[in-house]
Amino acid sequence: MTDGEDPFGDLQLRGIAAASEVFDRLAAELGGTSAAAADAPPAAQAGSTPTADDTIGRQQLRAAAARTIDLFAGLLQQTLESYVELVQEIVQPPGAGPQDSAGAGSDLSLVGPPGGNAVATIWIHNATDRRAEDVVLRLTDLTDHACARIDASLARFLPARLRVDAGSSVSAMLSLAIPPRTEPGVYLGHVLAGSLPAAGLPVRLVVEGEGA
Amino acid sequence: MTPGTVAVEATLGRYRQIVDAAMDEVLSAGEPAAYLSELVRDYPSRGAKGIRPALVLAACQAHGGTVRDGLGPAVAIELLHNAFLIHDDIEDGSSKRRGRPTLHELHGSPLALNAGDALAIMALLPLRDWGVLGARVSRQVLDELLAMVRQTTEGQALELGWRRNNVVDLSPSDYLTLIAKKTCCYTTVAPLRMGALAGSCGTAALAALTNFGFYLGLAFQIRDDLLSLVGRDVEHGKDAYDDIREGKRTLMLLHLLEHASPEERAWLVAYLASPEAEREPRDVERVLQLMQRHGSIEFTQGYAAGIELAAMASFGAAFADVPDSVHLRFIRGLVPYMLTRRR
Repeated sequence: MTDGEDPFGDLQLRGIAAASEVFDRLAAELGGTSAAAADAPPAAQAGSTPTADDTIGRQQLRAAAARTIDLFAGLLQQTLESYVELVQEIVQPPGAGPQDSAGAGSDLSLVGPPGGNAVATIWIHNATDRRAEDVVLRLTDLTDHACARIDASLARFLPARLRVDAGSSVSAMLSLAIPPRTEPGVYLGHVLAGSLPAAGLPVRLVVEGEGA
Repeated sequence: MTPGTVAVEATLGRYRQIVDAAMDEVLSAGEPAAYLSELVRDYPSRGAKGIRPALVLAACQAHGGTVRDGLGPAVAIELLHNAFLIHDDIEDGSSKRRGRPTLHELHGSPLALNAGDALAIMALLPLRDWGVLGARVSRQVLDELLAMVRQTTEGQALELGWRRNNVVDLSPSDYLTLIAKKTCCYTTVAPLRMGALAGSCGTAALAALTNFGFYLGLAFQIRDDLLSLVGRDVEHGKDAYDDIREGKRTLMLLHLLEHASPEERAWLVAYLASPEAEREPRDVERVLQLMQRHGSIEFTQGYAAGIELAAMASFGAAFADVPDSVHLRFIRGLVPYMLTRRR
């Protein structure tokens, strides 16, 4: 090519023109995920014509500002997450064992008629850093306000023994046979998990009356 | 080999070491799985140039970021590229990839398909860690990856559909639309955009960068098509004349369809309609001769030359707002490198 010669032949020009049309369609589909102002050509952003150094400086400033904002946003998020974890630890001490399917801290609710069965699922969570082997679940006797008692031996857990890995949860089914002549009312007790430093999970059994 | 090529290859090698180590970490996580772990490691271990992750890392650093900022997106895009290759090879019935038998040739299509699925999902793992880029930029980068996957699969569907329905009335513009979606997005546009977002903390101007990546990707793909015809098997790492055998709608083929005599065109259309397995080597040879006779290869070379000029011309605007650096010079050097490569 000599000086002054058009570097674009007809074929090249056709290639560029066709590619340019396709690009316009593709660009519309891809869009720009950065701020619209940042996507505008530099010269269109202000009345005066900025130098290359101005343009570079503004972009570096934008990036630095974004970094700072993200840093503070990240710190705020971490602080809030730490606060949530702290509250959770206060509500549910480490190693606390049984939880019912309704979630941490809530009573395990059972409902059934005299002579029937009351069934519920409980979750045993091992929040320690050691595996808990051979965890045996027990139900204490349940009593009502008048000290009427439902014997703990009427409860069955399936499975009877559990192995709970560190930091994981295992479920078990509690089935309680309610004696036929049990007085209707609310009976309270606890599920205890042996071999885990467990806090007791409150159990609330509602024995339904006739017509319930 | 020119000094420029040596410098580009040296930088590519450095980036590749970093990306390979990070990919290995992703692919090694968890217990080894029978019939899977070995397969997902195969293509990534075959020594690719690593142009895509290098573009991510260089664009990131050029915009003021660190290698750490760009590494997650770089690894994600390279793993996804390898997943696409596994599925592409099955879809195209290819027998060789990077000079060795394709994964489905080695293990059968069902296992290869499964490995491709696994690799595509594993590609998202490096983007799960929002600790490096923060939630906002991580989300932007993930959006870029998802947009890229959409465009790429749309492009691939278009190509497969044209071949299945034997669509022959296509213009160069149709072809450019195809490769804009199928190749540009994930070879150049997405790596540049993801790297720029990661390096600039989400503030980079993307329009001009997209323009540059688009022209570069087009030129790269057209050169790749030409290599399939004029490059030798060992240099290209694929089967010789694969594209003709598969009936790929390349610029050369579209030019030939337009300029062939009525008899030649009728034969060519019948050839493209025939099952791929029934296409004889002599038929492939005849298509090549027709392309040579009608100037289809010269046409494509001329077309590509214009788009290459557009790519080089758009470089300045693409990086107008970042300072000169070794990373920027590497990207500039990558343009002629990608367009004159031998494999």
